[in-house]
Amino acid sequence: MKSSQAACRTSIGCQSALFSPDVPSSSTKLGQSNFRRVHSVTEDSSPYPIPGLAADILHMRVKEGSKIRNLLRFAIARMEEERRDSSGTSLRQVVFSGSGRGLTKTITCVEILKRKVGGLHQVSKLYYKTVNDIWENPQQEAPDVTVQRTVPAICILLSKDPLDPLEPGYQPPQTRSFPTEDTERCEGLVRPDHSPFTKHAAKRLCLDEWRACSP
Amino acid sequence: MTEPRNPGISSIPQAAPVHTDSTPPAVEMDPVEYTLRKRLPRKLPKRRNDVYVNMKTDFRAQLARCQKLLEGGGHREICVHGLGLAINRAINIALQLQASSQGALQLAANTSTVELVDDLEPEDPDEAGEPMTRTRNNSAIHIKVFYPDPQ
Repeated sequence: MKSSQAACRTSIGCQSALFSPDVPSSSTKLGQSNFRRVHSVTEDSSPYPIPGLAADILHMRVKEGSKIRNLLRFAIARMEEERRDSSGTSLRQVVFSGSGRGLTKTITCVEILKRKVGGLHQVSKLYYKTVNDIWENPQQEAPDVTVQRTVPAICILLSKDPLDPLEPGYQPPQTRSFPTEDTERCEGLVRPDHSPFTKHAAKRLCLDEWRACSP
Repeated sequence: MTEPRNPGISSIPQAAPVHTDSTPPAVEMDPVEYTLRKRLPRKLPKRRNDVYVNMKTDFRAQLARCQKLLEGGGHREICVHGLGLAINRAINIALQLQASSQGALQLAANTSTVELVDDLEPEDPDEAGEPMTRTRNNSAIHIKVFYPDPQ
């Protein structure tokens, strides 16, 4: 069963996402006919859709279930660390990417980070990510089915150094930097132990803190 | 929970009752029950080639509207805006437009933060609760969909 799994895969070029991107039609149909999604493989043709990036850049992959406070605590720690010893690990740029239902979270992360670490240049790129879902039927000895899906994705580069302003999707650093009520609230999100609301802080501390932010 | 009462004010169409324990810790809640009324986002200037994407209108209708602007409307560029949950849909529309143009269209995405205002109105007018407002932020995306100028 397991050994034949890789050998016999029929490929169906089903681009359901192109015509009804909000409804995962093909996946529900397969789910009804006793198929089970084994795993999804993401095709990575080029690592970043933004030109001219270093290979070892800090890349934050935002998923649907990632906690914003974990992602930001990690990213901010790496960006502030650079200030202390500028000779060693110089972190001038960070890339955030997310797809599907993690899109909004990706943008929210970037927006909060821009407020917290001022003077960041930004380039945003939109693209379709191709995901190959492999479905297997546990009941019958039928060959596994590979379904190709396209999900919308975003990739955002934040840089302390100036970027090419003619690049499509470029945004200069924001000039307004007055402390609002919201930035305080975000601080409470990133560092829960400073929060004056002990009930909420205790709840947050119980959660598995660092799982989602391993690089 | 009960249905939201008739807002009385016609400019606030969305109203949802709030659970006191699920509110963010920014505002302390006392035992008085409040009704959370979300005001509409501040209206942005609207040009003829601006499209504000929402989650109520059918996806295909919104996509067709953008296609009409670019093809029949004679616009060289349009701006697709999405706020919160509609970010996903705005990105989808932009990518669909690009895909159906066979690479003729380019995208330039910008992100921003929009400040939203919620009204907190006491459920029981006899109790000591005072009407309050609370501001929160939501992410937004602005995608310029354009035909690049021939160089």
